[in-house]
Amino acid sequence: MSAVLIAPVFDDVTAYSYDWSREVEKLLLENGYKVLSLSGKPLSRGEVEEALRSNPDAIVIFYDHGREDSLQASQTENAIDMENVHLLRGRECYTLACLSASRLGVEAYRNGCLAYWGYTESFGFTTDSLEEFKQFANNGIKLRIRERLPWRQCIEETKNLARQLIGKLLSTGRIIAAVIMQRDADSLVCYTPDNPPEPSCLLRRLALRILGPRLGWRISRRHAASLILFGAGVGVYIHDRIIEWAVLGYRIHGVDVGFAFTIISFILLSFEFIRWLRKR
Amino acid sequence: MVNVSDLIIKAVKIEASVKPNEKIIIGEHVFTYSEFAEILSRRHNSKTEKKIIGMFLKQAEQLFKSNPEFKNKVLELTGTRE
Repeated sequence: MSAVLIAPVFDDVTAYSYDWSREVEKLLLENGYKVLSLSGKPLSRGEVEEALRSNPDAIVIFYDHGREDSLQASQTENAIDMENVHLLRGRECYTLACLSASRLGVEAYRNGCLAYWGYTESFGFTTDSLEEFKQFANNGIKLRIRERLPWRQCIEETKNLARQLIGKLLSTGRIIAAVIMQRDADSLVCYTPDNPPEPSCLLRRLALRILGPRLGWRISRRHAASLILFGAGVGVYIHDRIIEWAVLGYRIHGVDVGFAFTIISFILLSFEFIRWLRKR
Repeated sequence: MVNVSDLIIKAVKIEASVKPNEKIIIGEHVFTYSEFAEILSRRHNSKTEKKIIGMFLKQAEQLFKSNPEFKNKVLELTGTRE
């Protein structure tokens, strides 16, 4: 069992997430994991990619800033974004980072990431309750590594923990921390094959309904657009042909044979594409 | 009838007055409690501040409605009767 722990430090906030990640590193080592730790300094994209390529089955644990479409390696470079998200394929990914589950996590899931733990909104915390926020942030990975619980149970128990912690914060008069903790808990998600992301795009929903989750998530927007354009092209052709045949009478032209070839080749190509997608 | 949002702002100000130097960190943004209390009651804020305040108040109002413990604590802090 191996893990790649990524916890760069490049500002005051990342010093906190780095500090919290130390507990995770200790936990991994205690549980027999071989840990490649990229921590405590600004990182480069190349370093992260190399670590992921050389440890293809390792769980990825990321503690740092995030955006909707990226996890940051430093102030100027992304560690993982939409361009190299395929590196998460076939492995689990646990993040403590703002926003990344809203787009990057979905893309990771589409690319075959086995589990993506993250937040759909900005992660917040307060310095009067650091211990409680650390406990919340680390709980999912603790349950996964130590108790070997399924991700679904890890997230349920972490949300339950948040409720308990909010009670504790309120009993000691920390209402600001309680609000922030509630927001963190509400925006926490874990995408797995038994708990996939909710698609916001109508076409994606249609693809999922028609092709099922395995193919429906993998088909690209460009491919969907090409299908729509192809359908529209066929519609225009048939419309013109019907009108022409109604006026001039039924006659087959060379263009009709060419069109038939185009349709056959498109069907064959689509069939091959779907077979290729299934194998991925 | 007292506005929930006003009650929450009042409670935050009271908490901030007790520990003004504690910090609230939301993503890349860091505020001390006293700064946060100030921007909550200020009319003219930057776009980012407005977004953060909007998010905070929305979440707090939801919590006020759904969590009796939170509601009681806010009422207790502000000395408000239901």
